[in-house]
Amino acid sequence: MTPAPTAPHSTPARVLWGAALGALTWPVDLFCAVLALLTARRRAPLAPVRAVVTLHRGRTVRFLDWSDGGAPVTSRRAAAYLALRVGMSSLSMLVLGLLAYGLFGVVVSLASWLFDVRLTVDAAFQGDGLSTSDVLVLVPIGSILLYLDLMGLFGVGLLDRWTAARWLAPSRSERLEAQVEELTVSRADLLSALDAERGRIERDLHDGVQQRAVALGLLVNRARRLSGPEAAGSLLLEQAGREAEQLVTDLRDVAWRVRPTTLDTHGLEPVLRQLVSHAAVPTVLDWDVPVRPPGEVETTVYYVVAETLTNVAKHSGADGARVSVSLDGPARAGDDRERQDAAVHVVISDDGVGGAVVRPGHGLAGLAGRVAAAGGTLALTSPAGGPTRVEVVLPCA
Amino acid sequence: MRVMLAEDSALLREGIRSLLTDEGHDVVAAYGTADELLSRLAAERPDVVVVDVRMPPTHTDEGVRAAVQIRERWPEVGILVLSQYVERQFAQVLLGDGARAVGYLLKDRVMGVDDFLDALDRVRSGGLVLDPDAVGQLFRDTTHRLEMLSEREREVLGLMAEGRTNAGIVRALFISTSAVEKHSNAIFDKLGLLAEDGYNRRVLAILRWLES
Repeated sequence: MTPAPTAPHSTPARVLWGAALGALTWPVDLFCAVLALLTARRRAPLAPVRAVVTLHRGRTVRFLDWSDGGAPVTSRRAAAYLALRVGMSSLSMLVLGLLAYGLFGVVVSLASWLFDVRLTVDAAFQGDGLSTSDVLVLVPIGSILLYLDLMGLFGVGLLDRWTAARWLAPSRSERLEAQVEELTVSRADLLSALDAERGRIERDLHDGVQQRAVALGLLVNRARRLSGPEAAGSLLLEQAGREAEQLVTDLRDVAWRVRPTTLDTHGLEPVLRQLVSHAAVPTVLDWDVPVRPPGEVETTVYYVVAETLTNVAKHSGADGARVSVSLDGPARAGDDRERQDAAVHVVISDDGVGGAVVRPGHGLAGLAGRVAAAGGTLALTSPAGGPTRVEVVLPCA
Repeated sequence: MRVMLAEDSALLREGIRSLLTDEGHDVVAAYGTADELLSRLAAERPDVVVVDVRMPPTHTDEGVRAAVQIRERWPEVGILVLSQYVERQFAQVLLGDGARAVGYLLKDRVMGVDDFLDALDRVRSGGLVLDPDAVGQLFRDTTHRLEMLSEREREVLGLMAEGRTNAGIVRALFISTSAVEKHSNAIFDKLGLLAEDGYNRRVLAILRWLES
């Protein structure tokens, strides 16, 4: 879907111009309206019909302050719109005709009046020239007529805009569909941007901070070796060395939590094994995924399992948990063409107290959002007294 | 000994270089990428190379791939690979069947100076070095699988771990060659290893040793 072109802010003068321009296309409108009515049964409008509709769309956006929703134009819509357009351009022609007539009157009156007052009278012009008192009467009347005419033109512009909005704007359901599509895309974009950002942070940690920490530890230990165990402060140096080692270990854990690089090099299985082996609650992993799923699916599964195991440790009071990851669908056969029908199936269960709910702003809600953004589903069953079971299905499209 | 380095962090590169120089080793060259190291290796012919796993351009497994190439083309050069994390796949690739003069260490060991220098010596003299953490992890991964083995399969695995060939196992247990093959296939199955993926027998031996 293309974003709607933004209309320049409309002023009355713009609307007048727009309505006036709308009058100029009268013959084209008439021709195309007939054409469109004759071909209304076709699915797509003919090229000239489409061209003239596009022209009017542009004009309506530019002069009449209409936001084009970019809805596709069907033959029927084009026929209805152009039929109305013919009426509309006839109206604006009429109004413009009146305006032209009025202006002609003004020119004649002014000439007569000025002629009478300022110039010598020619013999051919024997009629009474306009006196100043006549002009004083005519000016308000003329102004009112001019005002009414301009209001008429303005009205035609508004009518024009209404017609476009009625026949060329997307229907409510089309609008909602487009909006949903847009939101889905932007959510997925947001998530992939987030993952990319995590990757960058991990890289920065690895390339900068971690290397520096290792270099520091190396320096301390070299100093220890050079000064020997009897030197003053050797005890402190030894402590410093131990601290540096701890620092490196902590940094490594943090970087791994930010984004496990193993995901990129070896895929999901080793990462999940590591997660499971470090889980606070004893956890078993059943792995049955014969082909590697796409990267974003792997990433999503990783965060689902990591987050859920954290929840298990925090809230469940469970003695044990189980993570099962399997592949459903034809990709099992390793047939790449069938891959889009395959789905990764993740079940995480624990024997804890249950009572888990998806509350907005909490971990599970975030997970559900992440899974939905990847086009998958998350189901939670957690009766009071347990067991709790989180089931996620992610398509490998 | 003559050492070549490939490590993308300049700070650490200099640190390791100074450490080795302090110890009286000759650091002939230190580079920031695996490609530079590979291109100069033939000319310099070091005793040992030390490579980091993650280096430009992709920051994934450049060091491991370089190590595999070096092992194929210059088998006499010892290789010590430094890794940020223990990754079992890397350990398997590096210490696969027939490996010699290879080490796989966590980067932290560099700080411990002694461990690092010791590993370097062992690699140079043709030994294999596997980081204690990696051993622990391999052990954790495999320990619950070991419980699934039958008594006979355990015996066969024990003999394998001692480095015996199938023929040797046949002689030790008085069973047929086909029975040994059947058992070893069952073992590989249960341990989740492919018989042909070159899983290192020595690693198995370590597991056995830890288990006992």
